[in-house]
Amino acid sequence: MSLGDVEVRSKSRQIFYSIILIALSVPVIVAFSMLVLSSFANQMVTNFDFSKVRFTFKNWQLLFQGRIAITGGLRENIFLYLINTAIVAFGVAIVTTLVGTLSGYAISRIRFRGRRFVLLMMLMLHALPGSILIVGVYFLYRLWMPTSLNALRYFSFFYVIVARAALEVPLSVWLMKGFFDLLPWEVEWSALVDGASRLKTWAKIMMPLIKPGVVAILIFGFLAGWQDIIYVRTFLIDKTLATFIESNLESEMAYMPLLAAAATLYLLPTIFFYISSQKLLFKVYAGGIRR
Amino acid sequence: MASIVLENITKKFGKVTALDGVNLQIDDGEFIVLLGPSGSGKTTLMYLIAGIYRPTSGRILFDGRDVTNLPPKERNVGLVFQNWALYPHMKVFDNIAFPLTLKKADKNTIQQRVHEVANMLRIEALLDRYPWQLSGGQQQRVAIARALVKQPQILLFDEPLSNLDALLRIGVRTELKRLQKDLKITSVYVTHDQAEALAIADRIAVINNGKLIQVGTPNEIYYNPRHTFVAGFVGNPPANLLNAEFDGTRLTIETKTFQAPAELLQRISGRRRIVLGFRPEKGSLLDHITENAVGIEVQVYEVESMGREQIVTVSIEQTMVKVLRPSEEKFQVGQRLFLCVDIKDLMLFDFDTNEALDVR
Amino acid sequence: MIRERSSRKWELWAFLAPALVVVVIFYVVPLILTVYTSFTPLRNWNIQRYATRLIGFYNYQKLFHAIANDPSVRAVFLTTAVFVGCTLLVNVLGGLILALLTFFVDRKTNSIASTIWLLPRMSPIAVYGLVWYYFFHGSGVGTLNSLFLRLGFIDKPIAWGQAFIPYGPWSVIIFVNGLVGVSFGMIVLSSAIKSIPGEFVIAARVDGATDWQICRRVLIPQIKWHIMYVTTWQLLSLLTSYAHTYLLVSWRLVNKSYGTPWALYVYDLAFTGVFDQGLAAAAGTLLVLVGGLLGLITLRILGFGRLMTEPRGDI
Repeated sequence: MSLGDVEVRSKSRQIFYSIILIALSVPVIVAFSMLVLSSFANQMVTNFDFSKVRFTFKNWQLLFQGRIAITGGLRENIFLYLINTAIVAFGVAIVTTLVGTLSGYAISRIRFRGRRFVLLMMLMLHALPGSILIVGVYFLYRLWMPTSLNALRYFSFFYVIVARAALEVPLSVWLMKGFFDLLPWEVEWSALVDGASRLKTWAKIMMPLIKPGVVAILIFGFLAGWQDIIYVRTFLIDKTLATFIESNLESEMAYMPLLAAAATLYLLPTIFFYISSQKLLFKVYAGGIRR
Repeated sequence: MASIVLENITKKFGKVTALDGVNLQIDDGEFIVLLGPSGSGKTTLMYLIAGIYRPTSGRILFDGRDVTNLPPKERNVGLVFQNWALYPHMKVFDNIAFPLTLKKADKNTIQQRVHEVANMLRIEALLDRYPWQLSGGQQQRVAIARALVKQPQILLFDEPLSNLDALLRIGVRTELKRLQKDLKITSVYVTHDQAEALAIADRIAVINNGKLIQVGTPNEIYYNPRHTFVAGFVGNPPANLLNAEFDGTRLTIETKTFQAPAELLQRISGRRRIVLGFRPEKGSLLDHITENAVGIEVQVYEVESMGREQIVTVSIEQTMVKVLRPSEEKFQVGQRLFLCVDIKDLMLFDFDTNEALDVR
Repeated sequence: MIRERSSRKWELWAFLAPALVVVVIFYVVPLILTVYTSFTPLRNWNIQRYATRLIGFYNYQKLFHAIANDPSVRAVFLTTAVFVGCTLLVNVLGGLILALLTFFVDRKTNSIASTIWLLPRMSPIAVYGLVWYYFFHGSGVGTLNSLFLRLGFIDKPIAWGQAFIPYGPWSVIIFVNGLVGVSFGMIVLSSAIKSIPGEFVIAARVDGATDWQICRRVLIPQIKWHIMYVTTWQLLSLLTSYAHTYLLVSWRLVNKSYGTPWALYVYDLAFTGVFDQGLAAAAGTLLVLVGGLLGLITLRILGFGRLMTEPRGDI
């Protein structure tokens, strides 16, 4: 922090920079708040024309009733989509965290042949996202796909979770390695001298010590699964909020403020996690580099 | 309880040699201190005994059993780290109980044993706290309790007192020594503090640059250093070491020449240069040269009071010498005096190898 | 001793296996399958019928022929270059400017600004897409249109992503993706700036340096490595990501040909338009080759190998 600088710099300059900074942020704020506002209005307010706008909870009501238009009998189970989205998000979070903490520990703490190679490979895969291999990933999905529709639905959940988590695995391994690097060796040695195996040391001593790191990676994994659209629309048989919004924007009869409500609902967990754990997420989104 | 034998231990980290052919025997129940400056390899040696490091070559035997390649958990050693390394997320009780839970001891045994050691170290009242709620001294007791609870055959201490404040240190040091004597556990104690080593050890092993320089009782180390390094490292202030030229009969320090005492001639004959050493408290500053002593003219450079005693720094031309004298004696800066050292208090070292020249 | 060694090995595998399994199944095997598919006439995912036939470099020939002759594919090619280049510039410069600005403001403003700028990156892609869908919407509902109408810049609504080809769609996709990437640069660079010892800045101020001089002479020279890191990393990410552009194109907010970078083109070939997986795999393989090469160069330049610390102890 540039705390030492505070005394020497001028107040007016600081205010000037603050204004520039806020001004630069205006488009983002406006665009997002228009969406949220529209979800409570009888029509989109994105054109700043408030003359015919009435504020209402009707959209939210319709949304939870599963109706995508004011008229018409088309019904969609929004709760189911919400749950599906959450299943994918939690799944991705758990897989990402488990793989990241296990391998991150090994790479940070255990000497073994090929350690450097594994780490550089992870960095390389992190630099080059696996989403460009999606043709191959889908090919594999086709090869393994079960024939019965029910089995396929479960399989598609499983596959989309692991495949989506795989995209975040290199970063999570690299990040967790960074977190483990910071832990004091003496504590680990203490555990090993006390008679613990490496797995015990990992589970009983090291994991509790990097709790902030684990929480960060859990949230990060959750958000990655939560925000995804490409993998979900490619692999998952069932709908999530993302595919719901995607498909209904194209349909002519969709009632736009209702979609705004769906999108706002979809946005809520993101905002919640962001506000509750901003510092941790900064670390993650910076890619875990230290130098 | 076990004896430890280190056979020809060499440890390399890449190209850096941390330990070079160390041989050391530690007897059952002995309290040995590994003394050396930072980076000397003393901690590495202790980690080798604990099993945290594996030697590049050489063997480690506990009670005659080869443990060189055993992991730490199969060595049954207790280890107290410099920063105590308590598990921050566990209460004191769980910290101490951790080694026992790993052995899958039953609940009653754990309760009983933890309370036993806690009682012994007087930390029973703290069992319900977290490490961060304890003072440094208390944390250290917990660390010792955790090391003791599994009834190890060997106790290892890695500079356990250096994170405590000076006053506390002396008290804890006494207790540690007492505890070790009561339990009769073979103990290896690493420190860079020579005073601590002298106070606590049965024997001291002085290490420098990865080599074992001298092993001996505190008295031997202090009064009979076998190497200029030991003489110059132990003692506060440490021994004075002066380069002297020898022409067959006379010794010359800087430009001051004096007759070599007959008693020493045999030991220094045939050498052109030697290192003369003496403990600061063995020097006296007089206006004449006493009998059975060597004397040399010096000038008082500075006087520092230490309360009961004073350190008088005197100069022989460019060479500074420290002498410890009682406070009653009065000296003035610039005063010219004779520095006298009894012949029996002189230490002689080879100029090239820095090793002691054969003693009496 | 033998027992001890094998138990160590077993434990190491337990730690590494999950990651290795994931890497093999979702990186190594798909890479092989992608390359393999690029030599087959696979279409409509009819694996039984097409995937066992090999047709040599036919897909690659078709691809290069299309780049040379098909205007829409050429547009994709051109769009990729412009999109990656311009977005990268927006990302790095924007990130740097924001990082420097946040350095000079108080903690509170800093935190608010960071929050706002991370929002695009964290939001669900569908929501983020929707936000800009309304912003650039071609009718009077669109925020930009209504704003310009009010200000009198235009007299009827314009479909920004479909008009002024190619600059209209390019501007939209660069703007939308640019905002996503800016936060990365901002976070990395501002944390790098924070780690510069404050004495440097104070000393410069005492010497009478202006804010601009402090940026030029003190801050930027010290975060060169980080700027490099952001640039190369973001370059790779822009080359290979397509989720945001996918929605803009699929919602017809932007022109298909001039709104489709290469990575999206690969996805479209395989999963939306023509379902020609053989051709998609060939296009994907090319992307992997270019990306892989750039990735290797990146790791080299950044010297990540040297950053690695060795574990301690021999347990």
